[in-house]
Amino acid sequence: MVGNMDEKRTGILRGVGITRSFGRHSALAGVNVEVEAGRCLAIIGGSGSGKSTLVRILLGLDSPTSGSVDYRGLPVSGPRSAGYRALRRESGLVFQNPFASLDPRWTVGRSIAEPLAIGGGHSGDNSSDHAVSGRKNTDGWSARLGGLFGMGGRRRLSHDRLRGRAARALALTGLDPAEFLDRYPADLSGGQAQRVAIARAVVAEPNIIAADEPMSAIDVAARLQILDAFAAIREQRPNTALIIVSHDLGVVQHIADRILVLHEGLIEQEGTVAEVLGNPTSDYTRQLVAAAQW
Amino acid sequence: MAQHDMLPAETVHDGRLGISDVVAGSCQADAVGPAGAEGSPQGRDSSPRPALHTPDEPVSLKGLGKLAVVLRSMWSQGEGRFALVVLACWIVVSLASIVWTPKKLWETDGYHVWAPPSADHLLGTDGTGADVFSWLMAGARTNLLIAILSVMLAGVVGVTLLMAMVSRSKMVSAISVVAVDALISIPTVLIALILAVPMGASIAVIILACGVGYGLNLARIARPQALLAAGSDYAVSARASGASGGYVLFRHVLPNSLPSIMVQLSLSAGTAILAESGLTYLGVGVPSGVPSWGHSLSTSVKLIDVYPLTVVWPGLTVTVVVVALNLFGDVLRQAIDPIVNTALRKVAA
Repeated sequence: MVGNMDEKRTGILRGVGITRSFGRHSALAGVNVEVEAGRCLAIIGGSGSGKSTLVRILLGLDSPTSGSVDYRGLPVSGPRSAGYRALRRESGLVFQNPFASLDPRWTVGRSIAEPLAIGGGHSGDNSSDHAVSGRKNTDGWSARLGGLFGMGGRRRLSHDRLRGRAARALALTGLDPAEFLDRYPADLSGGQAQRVAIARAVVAEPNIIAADEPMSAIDVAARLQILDAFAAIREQRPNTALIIVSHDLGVVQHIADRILVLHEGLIEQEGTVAEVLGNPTSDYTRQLVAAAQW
Repeated sequence: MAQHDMLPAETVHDGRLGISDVVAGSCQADAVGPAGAEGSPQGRDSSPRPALHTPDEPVSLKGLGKLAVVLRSMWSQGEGRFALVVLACWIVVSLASIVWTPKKLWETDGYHVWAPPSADHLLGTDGTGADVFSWLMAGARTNLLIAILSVMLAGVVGVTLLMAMVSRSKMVSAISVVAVDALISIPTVLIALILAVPMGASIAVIILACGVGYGLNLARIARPQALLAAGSDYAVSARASGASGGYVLFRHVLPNSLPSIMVQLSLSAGTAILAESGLTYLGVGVPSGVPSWGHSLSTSVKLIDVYPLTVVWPGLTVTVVVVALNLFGDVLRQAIDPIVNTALRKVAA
């Protein structure tokens, strides 16, 4: 079982003393968090507890008011920092609303392949794709336009290779590429759209995948498929770290290795799934556990 | 429906609580199989999932011809047919007028001034005895040129300002918003009058005034939609993948603002034609001797009580073309939008 793997684990993403204030409101107050390679960390809490803010800060998409984040020892402190640049290549993000996270005017295949087209393919950067293509993709005006915006320096994958990678990522989430790759988001159900969003997050084979409430905007039946997709990713990519943000302990307990309970910007409890479920140490955590049992 | 209604069974697995056996089972890594694809005939099966690193097997693109689908979608609507026919006629007549008109423009018949329509003069003659139909034909190409160049300039000005207004740089966006709000209060006619001081009456005055004026309107009107796209999750997602600001603006924000931009540009084309008529009447538009619909109107409007037909023809032409342009923008917006046009989505699939 993935969650019980006993290999040596290393913290690849660390946040120390993270505080984030919006005016007078403090969304996070001195949070310490560590994400380990190959492990799934579930961040649990109610609305306004600061869990989404924490993930955005960990991924460098927002700046903490105080505190620090480092990725593989590299500081994540703004767009020019080494940690930020590495995270862009080596992280994937899944949003709560799958339809809002897919460009309505792009086909599924194009959306999934976007991280690769941008040049964010982590493992792909060293993969055979580049060795085989062996050239910059300078076909078409769009590639040349891309070069205008600081993306022309990377070796780019050909259209067919982008589609091939997108197809495999889509298949990993349980959707048939032949059927779905050329569809538009408007032709998808909520569960399908979220699996497409997950495929987009994994296509560049990132070291970290963060999912912000990935199951709260879809129906219960589709949640099974989303959980299946995450389990498949963990099976295929055992060293990928997974961060799942949720307000529902009952859903994430089956995929998470560790749980971090946030309440009003503070950590209420942190531990393994068994520790948190078996020995909740605060009233708030007890309420969450009771809700999960219900 | 609450989640507990859908997941009634409570089970314990490895000290884990809640959720049903089905959910728990699906999450065990050793029991993982592909999730049942909704709409997929196979559903859930136990075949192994493909690894991310396998030899590439490109999936071929099915279907081409988006332009044909767009045109068919436009043609399927009455408004679209009307707009396409009128605009096609406008272009054909404009091109034809370069090489042929029924009468030479400077050929006048002093014995038949203000003549009613006849076999010799299809739409009659004006006060100099010149053939009205020939002047309308020749005017079509001038107005087509004005409409195209005005729209192009409005597009460049408007899109540039729009991109600045939704820029992530707070300073750039704040300055551009204030600048647009300030400049948009200046009427197009006033811009043309100011430009006419150094430039005199010319087609360039109309194009510059309309291009700048309508470009400001375009930026202002398209801004809300562009802001929505710029703040959307897919834009954040692209940035999170390492996309630059320019990439997000040109690949996501601009395409998703196109519906507003298309409608506004087609309205601008129509309004540019109206502006040409007005500015030519004021004496700062098309110079004397250059055929245009505005010129035809301005030379005959003073005698509208006596010879109304000479005003009716250019007036009717302008009205029909402006209506066609307005309808064209609206129909085109729907036709090129894959969210609205299901046929366009099926082309790709």
